Amino acid sequence: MPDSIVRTREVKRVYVMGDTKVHALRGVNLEVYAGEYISIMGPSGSGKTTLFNMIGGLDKPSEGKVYIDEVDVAQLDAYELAWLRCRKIGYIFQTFNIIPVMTALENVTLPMTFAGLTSDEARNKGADLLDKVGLGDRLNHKPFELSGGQQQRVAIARSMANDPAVILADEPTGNLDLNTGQEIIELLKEMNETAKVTIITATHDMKMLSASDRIVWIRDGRVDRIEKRSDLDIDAGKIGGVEDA
Amino acid sequence: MPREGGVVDEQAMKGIGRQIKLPWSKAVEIAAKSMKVRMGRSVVTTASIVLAIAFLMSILTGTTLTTSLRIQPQREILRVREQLEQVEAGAIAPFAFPEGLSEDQLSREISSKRHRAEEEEADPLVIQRLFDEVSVAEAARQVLRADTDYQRARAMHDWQVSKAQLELTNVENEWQRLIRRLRMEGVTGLSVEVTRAPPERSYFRMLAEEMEPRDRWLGVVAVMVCFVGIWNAMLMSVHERIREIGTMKCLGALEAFIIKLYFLESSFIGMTGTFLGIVLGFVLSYLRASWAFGFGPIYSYFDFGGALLSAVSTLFIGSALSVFAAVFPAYRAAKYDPVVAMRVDE
Repeated sequence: MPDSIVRTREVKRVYVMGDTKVHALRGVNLEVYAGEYISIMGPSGSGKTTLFNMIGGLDKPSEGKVYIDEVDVAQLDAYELAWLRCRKIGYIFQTFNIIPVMTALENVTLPMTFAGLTSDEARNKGADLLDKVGLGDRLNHKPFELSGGQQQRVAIARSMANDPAVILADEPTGNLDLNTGQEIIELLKEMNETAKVTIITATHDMKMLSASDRIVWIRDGRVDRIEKRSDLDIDAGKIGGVEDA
Repeated sequence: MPREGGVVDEQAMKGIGRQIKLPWSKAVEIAAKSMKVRMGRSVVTTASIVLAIAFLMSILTGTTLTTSLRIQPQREILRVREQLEQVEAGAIAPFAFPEGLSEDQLSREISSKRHRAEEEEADPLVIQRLFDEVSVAEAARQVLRADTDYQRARAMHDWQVSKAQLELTNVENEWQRLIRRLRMEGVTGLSVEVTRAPPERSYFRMLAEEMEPRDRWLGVVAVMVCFVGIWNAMLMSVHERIREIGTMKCLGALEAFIIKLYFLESSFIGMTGTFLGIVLGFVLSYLRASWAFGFGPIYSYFDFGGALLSAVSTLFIGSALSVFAAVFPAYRAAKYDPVVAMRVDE
């Protein structure tokens, strides 16, 4: 039995909007194991993003517990939460969120600076990471000089900056065309296999299914079903017609 | 294990550390970068501060100037008058008798000056001065003519007195000319007769007492403009960068770091703007006053020490305001929930 890296227990999340209460999550139990590549799928409004934010320590549950690496997130103070975000979790966003005033290398080294690395160490490590994602020749480019796919590669390198246990990718291919999206998925899979980092994505993208070890389907704030890829391979042709990565 | 020593609690045992605070140098670097990128807006914000502070500084300099011009010459007159009294009493002899004068030279000077005084019709001040100069030259001739030591000593005393009298005439004449110009500039309540010493008081007390109510009001408005300008600029800066802030928080930035960034940005803009505003305000109002009252009197009577004091306090006010105006925007930026921040469309 592999170690569990993220665990949720009866997680509920209620948003109060004026007089009405919106139940985004109605009790989610989920366990993610170290080294897994897991995709959270579901239609808009299913609570997918809310669950994703819980797992990333970006949001706190109204009820229930979220454990990251066996630590209850709700118990953490601001300093510990920042530490967790800095070292344990790498974030990738649909809109890339590369800091526009910084070069690719500066974007990648920023979390290292937050983690206390010296600038020399950070520069070397950052250059290595950018090299790994195929941007070794674009270290000093500003975000506006990079294509969407390249920006997302910078974001992947940045998420790997402090050797996190988990990478959380929120619709990482949502703003990319088909081929670029496929490249990004392959890169994530490669990181998953070589660096043994756990990858959790929230996505609509059917291409993601073939890369995932497990798929968690969310519907109406609950886990609808969890599928393993081995079960899914039979249907691969039907789902996306995408080759196994 | 926890990075920082202290309480080893259950969480820490499981490997959760506490995020370290970043050095200022890094915050400075990032703040400088974001200002550079938003150069256009930074310049506009700085310019508005420059103008507001220049306005405040010109009010302060203007008050200092008119007060200096009203008070310093009066002090000067009283000092010279006192000097004259002491010379007459024989207590002091402050002037050195010029060597190498000939009687012929002096006689020529006397007759030419008498002639000029008779020709001069327009300005009684000039006539007065010419007569006094004639008296000095006559007294000097007496010194040269003296045969005995006794006669020489008496003549020398007379010469000292007439020299002191000439000096008094000079400062009084200058005072009268100044009054004419001050009245043209709307400064009233001045009399030609200087009877008592102007009050000795601290610079700030002087400012408080001498500043006109209208100027005081305008000064307050200038400070408020400066404050609101920085506040607005910082709010804009926060709004523009909500996603950037959210991203930084996701990458492990502490709230304190975000606050540092905004404080640095506003202090830098505030101090640069304030400094430039002080220089601009001072130079312009000094030049304007020199144009109106003449470069000479302004240079000799202007209270430079006082102006320096108001420059320093304006620098302090401007910088404090800019830091203070950043408090709310910085706090707001730091408190942004990363989840909310990420939802914002650019």
